[in-house]
Amino acid sequence: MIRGLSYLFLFSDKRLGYSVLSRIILILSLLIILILSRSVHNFYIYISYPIIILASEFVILTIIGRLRKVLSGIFMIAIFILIGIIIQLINVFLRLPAPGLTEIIIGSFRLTAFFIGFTLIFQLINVREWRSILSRLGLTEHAQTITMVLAQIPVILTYFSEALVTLRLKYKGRKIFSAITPLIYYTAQNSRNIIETYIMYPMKESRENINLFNKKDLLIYIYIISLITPLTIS
Amino acid sequence: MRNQQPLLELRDVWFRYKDGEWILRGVKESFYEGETVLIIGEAGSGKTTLARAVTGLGETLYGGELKGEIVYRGRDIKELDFSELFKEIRVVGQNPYNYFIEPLLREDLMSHIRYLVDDEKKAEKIFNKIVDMTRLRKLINRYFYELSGGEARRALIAKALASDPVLIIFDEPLMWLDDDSTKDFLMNIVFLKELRKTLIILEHRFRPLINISDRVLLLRDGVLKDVTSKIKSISREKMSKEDPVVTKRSFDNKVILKTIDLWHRYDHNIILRNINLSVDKGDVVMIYGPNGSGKTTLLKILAGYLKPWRGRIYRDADMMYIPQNISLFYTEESVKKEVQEICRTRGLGERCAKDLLKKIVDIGIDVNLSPFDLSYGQQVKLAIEISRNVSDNIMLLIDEPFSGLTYVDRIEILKDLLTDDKTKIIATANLDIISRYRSHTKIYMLREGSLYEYIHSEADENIDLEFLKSLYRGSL
Repeated sequence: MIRGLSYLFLFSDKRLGYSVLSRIILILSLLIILILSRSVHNFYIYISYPIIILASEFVILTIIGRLRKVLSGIFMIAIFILIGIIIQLINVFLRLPAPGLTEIIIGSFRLTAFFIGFTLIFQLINVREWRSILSRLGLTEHAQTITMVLAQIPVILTYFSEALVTLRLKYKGRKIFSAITPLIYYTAQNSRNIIETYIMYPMKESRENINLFNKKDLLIYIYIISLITPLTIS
Repeated sequence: MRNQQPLLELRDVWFRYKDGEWILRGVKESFYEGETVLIIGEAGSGKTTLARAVTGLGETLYGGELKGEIVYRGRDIKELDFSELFKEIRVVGQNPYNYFIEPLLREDLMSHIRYLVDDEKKAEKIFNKIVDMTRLRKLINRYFYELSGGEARRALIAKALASDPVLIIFDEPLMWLDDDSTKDFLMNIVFLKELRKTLIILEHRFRPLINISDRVLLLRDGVLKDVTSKIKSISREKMSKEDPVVTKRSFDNKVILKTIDLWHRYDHNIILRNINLSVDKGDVVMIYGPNGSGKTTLLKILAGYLKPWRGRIYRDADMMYIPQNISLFYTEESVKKEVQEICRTRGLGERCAKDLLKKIVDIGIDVNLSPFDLSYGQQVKLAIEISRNVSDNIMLLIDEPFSGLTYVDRIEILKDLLTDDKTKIIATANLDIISRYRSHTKIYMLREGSLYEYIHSEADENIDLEFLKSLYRGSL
């Protein structure tokens, strides 16, 4: 499950043939449309857009061959969402102030869609492209840091999984939150080792060609326009 | 060889970390081009520090203080800048996973090669050469964290070779390597020797490396001492003796763990196939298998953390998991708090903490220290001591407790594990010390997902503990 979660932050190596710019615009558009659809005073848009965007994200994940892995990773996030829904339903049952059932369900879809949309930033844009973009913006050192952080996320998540098994048994299911302590220790201990790597095995500044347009991009732009049009009308 | 100028010369080298004791205390040694030198020493003897001192990172990155001179090809290393130095001297460190910057292996290697050469065609040529030399072709499209310890080490060797270095320093290269990967690593060393590379290997688990080393040096009390003839004289017959152990185990043959036709898969890959394992109370079971064979997965299923894909498990014990990365076992700021916390959460009261702290003091651990500040061996010993004293019906699931330990620590920990009456399942990738205690354990082999009873071979490596203790103490 946690291993699956790590794939949410890793680039899929499947070449899709879309330009970097169109991929960035796609991700940002999905996130912005998701936010805007909440403030539009149209009930149908309010309930349908989170579902449409979530479905679009699943299609993207299927195309890049990540759907199974992401679904296994998203399971943990889904648990938290489920807990939230249960609390809200209890509130409804106890007649405490709570949103309606439709809002709770749509809110869960929206949250899941937002989370997956955010992770698409890492799955659709590879680290070399990030490095290249940031280098061109004059942020070369930040680019290296981002690369390092992205590369280490799966390792940290694997250790997190190990710590959870260990501490769940050690403390008989209590104090699970303390799994974070050994991870902080691990991160502090290894940060210097990783700097050592930078000094001993440096990388060339990224030469990745940042292409701004491919013919195939039109598909993405048409899709975005088709999503935005109903929003602007209402 | 000795008629030539030394490639690397350590002239009365002293080194200490900021505000610390001197770790290197006047090291005088010369290393010659093309030779392979094995440096052994106990945990904490300063082997990694020596590598840091030689590369200049000890001062620059770790804020240490260096006295004396380190001379590379007749020049003080302080006169060389890092980009110049690290093209000629390469370090292959303990944890290979720390040495990758790009997630994808192919990209990681290429990014580094592009730094070394400007021409894309040349970069491709070097890439293909090092990938073929280190037999990495099948792995280049994998993420580095998906590689086994042995594969990651091989990938790092490839990265080190990219600049065609003169000197390669290996810091504990056999750590995390299974027996097959160890053989693989030895082949790499033979190959590097053929390329006339100068190799300095810093290693606890040195037995497999003795025959391919030209010299063996012992790092003790901050200085290097030549022990080549002593180390090479270890007698084979003397080593294959079984070591008797007095165990407190009562043989009541009560089955406390049983798996029936257990299968497990991840994505579409079958990891475990039809595992049938029966463990009696007090048994010490060894699961021996290469890296990536599914040992950790099996332990997690037995612990109840992972659900098997198929099959059933019967458990009648309080399970405790001790991970390979031992620091993940600890959560508190001191050993004392660690003990108090586990006794409290398990509802065992103050008596438990008091008795347990006494036992921990008896094994020589300062209870006021942070568990994270203990040596690797002490952390393993502490985790075992805590685990076996918090329940009468405990079953310890221990993942690779021996990697990263000296032979002396390995044998002491294994002997200790064999003496009590607690049930243990130990996953290991190395048989080296286990054969010595084969009559006290049930050994199974996990290979390609299936579990077989292991049949002992006389060729299994074994160690003369007394010889090694005397060697480390310098009383030989």
